[in-house]
Amino acid sequence: MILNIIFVAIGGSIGAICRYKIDKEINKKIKHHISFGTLGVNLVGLFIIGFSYSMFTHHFGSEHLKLFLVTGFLGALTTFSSYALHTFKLFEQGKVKYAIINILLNNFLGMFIALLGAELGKYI
Amino acid sequence: MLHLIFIGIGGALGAVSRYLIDFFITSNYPGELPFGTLAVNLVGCLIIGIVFVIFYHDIIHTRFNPFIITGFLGALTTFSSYAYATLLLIEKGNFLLAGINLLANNLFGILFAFLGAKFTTYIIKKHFLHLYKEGK
Repeated sequence: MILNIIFVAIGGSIGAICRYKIDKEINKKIKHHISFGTLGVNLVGLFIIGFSYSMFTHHFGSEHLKLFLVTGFLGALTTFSSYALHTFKLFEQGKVKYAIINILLNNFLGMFIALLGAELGKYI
Repeated sequence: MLHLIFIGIGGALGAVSRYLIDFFITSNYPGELPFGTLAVNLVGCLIIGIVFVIFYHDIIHTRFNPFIITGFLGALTTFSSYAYATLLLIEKGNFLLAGINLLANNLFGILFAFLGAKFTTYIIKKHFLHLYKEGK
């Protein structure tokens, strides 16, 4: 159990730092009501989770690698709290259109990209 | 550089908390619907609503923002596990549970962030008016 926690913690700290860096770079380049930084990290994370589960199923994968990569790194790279807060703020400011676009992009584009990642994993 | 260390520590704590909460809930409520992920997301959304308002009124110094919001709450909540679990439900043809999972995370997540923010604003206005800042 202790070893599991250490793998999750290391993955989590790397994931959180990567999220901060990616989010900052995207938000510097794209200034918009919709937080493209948060969308960006979520999409990147979803592509990798689709790809890596595919690899785990078809090729290899140890429990510790899953804990490090999926639970730790990808869990921390992607985020729900910032996404929900941004969406709530958009609703509160009356920017209902952007709020709905934000919900659709994160959820449906996200799942589509996870599917792409999974398909790519199958062919490798 | 220091803020990266704070984000790293917050991220490690958030990810480990998620792992433990998820582990506890999944072993107590096994089933097709990922209640563990739903629980960490809703808890995280409620806390981000509360903390966002506390930061807004300068009750906590913004230097703690990287540790609490970016690190801890960002890593406590997760989009990848939620969306991937929903995708698996769709692939299995279990559209009802996929729809419930999607609505539960999004609707309640946004609602919890809203409730956390409104409740905290109310408390500050009622009991700590000297700290209250107009505009929110």
